[in-house]
Amino acid sequence: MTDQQVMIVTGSRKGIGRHLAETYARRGYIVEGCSRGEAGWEAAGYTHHQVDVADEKAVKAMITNISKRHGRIDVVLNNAAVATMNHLLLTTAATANRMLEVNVTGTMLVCRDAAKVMMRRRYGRIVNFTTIVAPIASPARRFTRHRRARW
Amino acid sequence: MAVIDRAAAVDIVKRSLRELIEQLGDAPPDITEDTVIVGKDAVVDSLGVVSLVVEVEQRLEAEYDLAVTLASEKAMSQRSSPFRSVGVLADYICEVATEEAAA
Repeated sequence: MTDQQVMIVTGSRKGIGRHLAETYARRGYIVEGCSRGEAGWEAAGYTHHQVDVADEKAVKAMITNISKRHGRIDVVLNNAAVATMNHLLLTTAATANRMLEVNVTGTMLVCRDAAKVMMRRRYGRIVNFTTIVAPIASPARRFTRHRRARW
Repeated sequence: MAVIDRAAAVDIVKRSLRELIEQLGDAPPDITEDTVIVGKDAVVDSLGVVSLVVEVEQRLEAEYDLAVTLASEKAMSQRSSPFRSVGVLADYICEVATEEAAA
């Protein structure tokens, strides 16, 4: 088993996920990231997995691979998510279902399989990311109520 | 051809359960295929069931290179849980391992 801490960052191809992965790799963590496509970037201490977090078998295979290579998982950053900025009235059921698959089921699958590895050492930290909409949800709801009231 | 034979599955469940009960500081009872895991007369509590299933999965992976997920909607059902006794869990392991190998 490695002496370094092992961290999983989902959705590490770009944005916050990429920056977290790069930062923690620089700080000495073994960072294992994933996204549906190739990472398109490299860093010492970083390994990319082409995995859709909504794919149960693929998530299981990735966690098994990480566990076999390093013998431990210390931290999971569940960052992967899809979002649509489309108006509700113009959003398809397929889009809504895909959001649930990735943002809800995907997060749960990575939690489930990583937690099983964490249980062996009775240590682990999991951070589940929420949406950018959360901080602005309150005014939005007020707006909606306001609009509804006007209707 | 089954991916894992039933006797091996029973053996893994028995060893995992014995070790878990020992870790909890209790003297393990005689463990047979009829030993109850879920419901009234169960030898472990609900958290114990979770630990047992994780332990069994890890042994399947370590000893047989089988990466299976033993999850079920009926996990905590006394009547129909695939984890309800040692023998039933062994059957479920064989079933899931065979299904996953075929997939």
